Amino acid sequence: MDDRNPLALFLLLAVPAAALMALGAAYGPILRDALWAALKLVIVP
Amino acid sequence: MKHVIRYVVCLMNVLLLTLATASGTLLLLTRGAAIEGALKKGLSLAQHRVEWNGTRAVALYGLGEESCLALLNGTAEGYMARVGAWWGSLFETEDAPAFPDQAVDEGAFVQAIMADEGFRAAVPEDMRRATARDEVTYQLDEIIREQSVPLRQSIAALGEHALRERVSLPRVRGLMKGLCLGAAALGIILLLLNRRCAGITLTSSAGTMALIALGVALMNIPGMLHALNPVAEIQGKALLLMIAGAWLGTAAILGILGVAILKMRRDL
Repeated sequence: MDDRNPLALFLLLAVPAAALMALGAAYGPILRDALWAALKLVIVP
Repeated sequence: MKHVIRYVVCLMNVLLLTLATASGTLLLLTRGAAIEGALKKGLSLAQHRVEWNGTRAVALYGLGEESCLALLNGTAEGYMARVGAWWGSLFETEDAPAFPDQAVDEGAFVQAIMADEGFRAAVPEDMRRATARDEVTYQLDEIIREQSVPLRQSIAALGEHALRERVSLPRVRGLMKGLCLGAAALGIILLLLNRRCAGITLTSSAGTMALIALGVALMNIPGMLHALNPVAEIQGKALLLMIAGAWLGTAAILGILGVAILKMRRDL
């Protein structure tokens, strides 16, 4: 596996991307709600 | 098997480079000047809101609009500078001062209010000092604080106290610096040891960083802030743009380097 291998480039781009997307789909909404709750608590309207 | 191990090493390298950039970017947030700059992005709106709310709140006490505006001039800017300086000192010394809980110089304010003719006409003499201090100055101070740094300060102060009881913030900053430099050094060493994969490692690091930036952008944090307070929106957006600039700048450098190496290796 080296720079001349297109499969390696594809895997190295796709696997972290897929992992990030899965994490985002799983925890994104929770994170967003937590952030929203924290902002509502701390920021003066 | 050899390929799998090399692939895992490349993935770890991507992780290390991303981690180094993330901690380096977060280090930006511990600088007082950066926070002060972001706060001051909202200055004109904050000053406008301070004047709008301030003149209305104190009209009851006969204080003329002109003299009230003269009192409020520059107070929001001064308070932002003090909060910025406080934030910077929090990460520099163990015994940093407490959160600045007063935006104005109380003595000077009381003097100026008591000298105002409209105020003297509206408030009986034996009530003047108490009214000037406990009602007019107190209200103006609260308005300046809430409109220029729109945080619920009782909660912020509780959080600050709880945090400082448990951890040493200067040490946290030192650790973050160590993490940034360590991860960067390890990433570069790994990159040099594994030179055959340098191009794809750098390219996918840039891709990962861009994807993370996209995820944060999709959360629409300025939009969430807008629903709460427009001054906070401007300030939050300035902070996010500062972080995004550092993050995406690093990603761009790594990406360009990676693509250049890929092109060179493949003799395209």
